[in-house]
Amino acid sequence: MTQMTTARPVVAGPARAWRTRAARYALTGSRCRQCHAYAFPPARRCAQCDGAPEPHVFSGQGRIVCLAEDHSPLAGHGGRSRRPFAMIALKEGPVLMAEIVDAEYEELSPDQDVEMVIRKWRPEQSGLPLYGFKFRVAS
Amino acid sequence: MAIEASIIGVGMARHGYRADQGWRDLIFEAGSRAIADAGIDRAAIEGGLVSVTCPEAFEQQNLGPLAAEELGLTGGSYAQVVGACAGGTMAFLHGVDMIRSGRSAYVIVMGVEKMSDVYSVSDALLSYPDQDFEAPAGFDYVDTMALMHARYMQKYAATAEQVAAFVRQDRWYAARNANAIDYRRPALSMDDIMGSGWASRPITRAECARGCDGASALVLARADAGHRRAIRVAGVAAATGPNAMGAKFGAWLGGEDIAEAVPTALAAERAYRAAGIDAADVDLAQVHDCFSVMGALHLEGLGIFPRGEAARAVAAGETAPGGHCPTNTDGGRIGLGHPTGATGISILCETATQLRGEAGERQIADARIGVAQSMGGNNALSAVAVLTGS
Ligand SMILES: [Zn+2]
Repeated sequence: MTQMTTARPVVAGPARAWRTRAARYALTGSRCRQCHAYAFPPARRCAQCDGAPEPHVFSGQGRIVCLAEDHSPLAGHGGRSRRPFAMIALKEGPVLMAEIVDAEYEELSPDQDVEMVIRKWRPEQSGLPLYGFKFRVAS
Repeated sequence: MAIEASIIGVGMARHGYRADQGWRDLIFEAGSRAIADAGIDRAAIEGGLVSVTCPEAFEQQNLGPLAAEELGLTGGSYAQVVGACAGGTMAFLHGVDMIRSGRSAYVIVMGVEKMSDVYSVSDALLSYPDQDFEAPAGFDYVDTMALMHARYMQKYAATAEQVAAFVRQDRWYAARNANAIDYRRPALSMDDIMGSGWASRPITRAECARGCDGASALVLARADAGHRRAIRVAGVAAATGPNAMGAKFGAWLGGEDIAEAVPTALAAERAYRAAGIDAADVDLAQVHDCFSVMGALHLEGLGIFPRGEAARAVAAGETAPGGHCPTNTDGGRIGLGHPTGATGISILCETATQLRGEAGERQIADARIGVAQSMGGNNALSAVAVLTGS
């Protein structure tokens, strides 16, 4: 059967995905050399003191701030007809948005501890899947 | 003495699913109406701006000169403006500056969108959320705003029904607006809204803006040109904030995060100062309710209700005619429809129409000061205008 829908992006070559690999695979953000403030995604300049940040690999440990449940997955994001996702506060401080896997919305709640896993994001235009961070309830 | 700007012409193309009309038809309809309403010779118009968010839908860019050509305005200074869903108000802001600077005596600002030609509105607008770590993970606007909705209820102890009350208010006004997608449609019950199915929980389908086709236009002039029915631009300002969701945590000193519209508060403060008013003086407001909860966030950003109180106030009828501040009197993004590039102009068309006393069965009595606000991105940009009638 012909695939009638195209997953975005329609213009991305492999270099585009390659450029964000450190953050997607290893949760690499940054830490200020001066005041030690953390940032994810990595900061170019420290938001607290204007100092110079250096790369920092986060622990992947965090806590749910608030929760929602996607019932309208985008083209190319099949596989889960509904999926919980959340704002997650990393142990080190920065907050990010991510899907929660291996659990349903009803089983989750704010303040629950979660940990990072690597899962499929969307297919790139080449057809290869893009992988990145998601979270699951901490073991 | 400083030059001031006025709105002298208002024109709209009905918002809705208009499969028989292309973007050129829609912008011609709105633009011609605005010029006719201004009562000036179109040769007097020296330039303008066109807002659009998703020109990929009709595979045409550089709409400034093309719209000018369509309206017989060739020869002037015309360009396309992009500011996500705030683009229309950004076009207006810069159009006002074209007048105030003395560069132009007459300017036209327009917005247009053709959403009915895209496969999915959410996919079409996917270049506006964060394109590094949020959109590629499958999150579109309804998802980012579902988290804002969840956070708002959590932080301010608002109920889902209080947040959803915005939809009922929008339907009431839209049913009375011939330009609205929901014109003459029956009132909605809370059961209709809460039972419409989840789009992205806690947002139900009925709580989503209606991405659709539409266009709107305004003709601006120097205030000293002495036009009848002119509406004064008392203040207009815009402000930005982080676009990515996570970046909003810790970005501001007051503990604000995704449950507050900080750029709206910053823009409102500047626009009110320029206009010499404060929030208590506002007689009616148009706010960016792309999803029900965003109406509450922006009403609080505008200072019309205290932080955390807007959803409760809407549920209590404070935004209905006769309430503390009638809001989204054209039906808003949920009831009027949301042709995203046009929206930031449509809210000004409604404000000017109300201040002229020409809003018919949805007219707000004694409206003298109106505020119109639009948001681009996930509170990445907010633009606020204060208009005053005579
Ligand atoms: Zn620092």
